[in-house]
Amino acid sequence: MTIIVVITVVILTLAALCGIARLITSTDQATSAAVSDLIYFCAISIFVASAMVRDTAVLFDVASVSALFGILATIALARILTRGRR
Amino acid sequence: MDIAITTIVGFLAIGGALCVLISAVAMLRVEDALSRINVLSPATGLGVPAIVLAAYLNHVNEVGMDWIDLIKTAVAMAGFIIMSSVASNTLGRATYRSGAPVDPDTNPNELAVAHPDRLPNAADKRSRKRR
Repeated sequence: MTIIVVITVVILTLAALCGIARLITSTDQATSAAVSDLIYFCAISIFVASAMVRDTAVLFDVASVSALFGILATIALARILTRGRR
Repeated sequence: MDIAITTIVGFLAIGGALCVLISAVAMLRVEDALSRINVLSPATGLGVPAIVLAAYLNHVNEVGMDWIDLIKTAVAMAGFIIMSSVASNTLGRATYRSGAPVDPDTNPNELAVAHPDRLPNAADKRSRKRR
């Protein structure tokens, strides 16, 4: 199981690094919003995957709360992009 | 039985992580911001729910079945799929209206047809007409 978790975490870290590379090379704000979403999901996935080998009681709480409230950050970024217009 | 569960967990976890990596690589390759939001969908709709399901199956294998954890897992998986769909729709619309350049080959482009007056440049044109 440890090998599976290590492979998963390495792949997810690579994905986050790809997002950061895109963030460095891009110039527009919308790309920053998309990359921030990608890194958010990578962070949650790394926590959930690493919790498979660690004994933690908040694994499913973190997963469900982040699934339900992660939309708030994206909506806020969308409002920032349109300068408050709906 | 233990090997079967481990195989399923490994398939789901590594497959989900590969979905996220494919989205990230696609984000590097596509040209415009709208497409970068579109290519995030495999990660949020398939990759992350698969990793959460893998964690739940591993939890059931080690600790045992628990209804509360099953409900939390179902809420998490449904939440990732539904909320990320709504969020990427909102973000894509905001990106389009903020004036980010769109690939000229984008077709269909119904936002441009349905709301020509709401385009970012249209407001400037209206204010110029008033003057």
